[in-house]
Amino acid sequence: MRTAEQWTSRTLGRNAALVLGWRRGSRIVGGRLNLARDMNSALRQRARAALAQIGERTPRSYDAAAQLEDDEVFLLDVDQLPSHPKRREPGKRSGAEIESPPDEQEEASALIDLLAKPGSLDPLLADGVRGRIFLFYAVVFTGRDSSIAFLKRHNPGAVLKTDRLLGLLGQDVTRIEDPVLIFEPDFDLIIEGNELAALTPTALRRLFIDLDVAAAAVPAHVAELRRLRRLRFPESTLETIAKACAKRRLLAGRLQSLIQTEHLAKLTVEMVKAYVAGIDEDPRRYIRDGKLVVTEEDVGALIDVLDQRHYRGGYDKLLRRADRTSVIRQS
Amino acid sequence: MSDVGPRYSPRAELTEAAARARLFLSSYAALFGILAIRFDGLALRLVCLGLCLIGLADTFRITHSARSRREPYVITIDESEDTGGEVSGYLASYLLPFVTVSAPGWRDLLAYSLFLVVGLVIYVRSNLVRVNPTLYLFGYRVLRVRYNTSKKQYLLIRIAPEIGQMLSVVDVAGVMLDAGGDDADC
Repeated sequence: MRTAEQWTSRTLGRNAALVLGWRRGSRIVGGRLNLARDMNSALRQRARAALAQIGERTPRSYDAAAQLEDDEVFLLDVDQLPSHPKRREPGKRSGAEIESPPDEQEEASALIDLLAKPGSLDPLLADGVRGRIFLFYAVVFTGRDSSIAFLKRHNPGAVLKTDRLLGLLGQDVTRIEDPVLIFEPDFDLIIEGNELAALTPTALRRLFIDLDVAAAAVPAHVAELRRLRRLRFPESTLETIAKACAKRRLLAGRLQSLIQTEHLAKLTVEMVKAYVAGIDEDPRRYIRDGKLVVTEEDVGALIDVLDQRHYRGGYDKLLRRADRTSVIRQS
Repeated sequence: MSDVGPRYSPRAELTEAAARARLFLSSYAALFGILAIRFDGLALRLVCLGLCLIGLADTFRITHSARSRREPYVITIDESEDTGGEVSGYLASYLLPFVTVSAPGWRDLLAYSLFLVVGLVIYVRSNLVRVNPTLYLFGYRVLRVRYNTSKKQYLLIRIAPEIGQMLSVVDVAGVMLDAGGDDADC
């Protein structure tokens, strides 16, 4: 994997391309906007600043629950992104079975393919883009051997969605009616080949965990829970989880994060019971007759339990919920 | 309806049609030059000569402006073939000056104009935009290329590219124009 110094010393290809990305269903797709030559140097300057920032920050190893501080950077390979195991056996798929949504690894791979050759993307017409919602913009510099993409999770046309009136200051102030794009001074993510550098704390999560998509994927995630034979979810509990997540999109996002954790497949009801007892909670809140049973109000709490979100303060010993977690040491 | 992603825009279609209409005049620049020679009346000659010069100047302006002002993107050529056959078909319309009378009446002029209007509509609404004899006068060739593994498009270029060659290109009215230059990193 590339070091921070190698990222910093990376040269940028001569040609710049601007890509806008959006979601079509659960897939990320993109198109290319033509750039005037005078945009090249301005965007190049921002891209170089982003590369320089990598060298100024502390590299962190990535895990799904990890969070970044402002002076840190994730340097990772696409293989390190969460991927849920494909448990479906060949030939066993029934017609009623729900298609699993792409996981972060699949989404990142699709994004890498999308940005690797911006010349392959269909050109977007300015008037077709005006006032529309986009997931991100990316500036891709292409050189002799490879391309490097600088991605910002921001809708560059968002300024026109706020009903602002834009005027051009001259002898007479005239209304700007053409589409306006706003480019942020920084980038969230840098992608080259199969490697990524994430510069903002939520770059990866916000890009790949779309709450609308997570909400739409609730049935698929519940189907994943059903396949966890060790945890023995009764159908009534699965229905309760599905109902609660369908009502609350943020809960759906948390369920999606839980599904992508590696430890979930190894959990047993006994392990959950021990965990709940360890935080001085009554296990009967979640476990009855050796099965996981919850009310709709307790679905969020159960997701926290399964996602091991609790910890005790080192000094005051108070029970807390970890909203942001990072694995510091693997052992 | 969702607000996500690009949408169909009639205004965008209009902009594209305007760009194609400019190339239509460009494609008939030489024809207007021949008509200027064929017609007898001074006024008619001056009008045709004017249209010829405007078409030639616009061809230069469109290609020069796209190459100098637009940021190119990079493609890798997988396959290319010449479209000379399609251009020679288009050249059939260049027979018009040779079936015209040298001193046309107003009905002749109306008929020629109608022919050109029909030609303009077909040109703008179809992908004939790639067939432009004037571009050949400027040294370009029109190639049908397959690039970046699966994409197909028409390419205006002076020297035919080799398979696997990387090219910097810009979009011009729905076709790609070779922007020249190397692909050095910086």
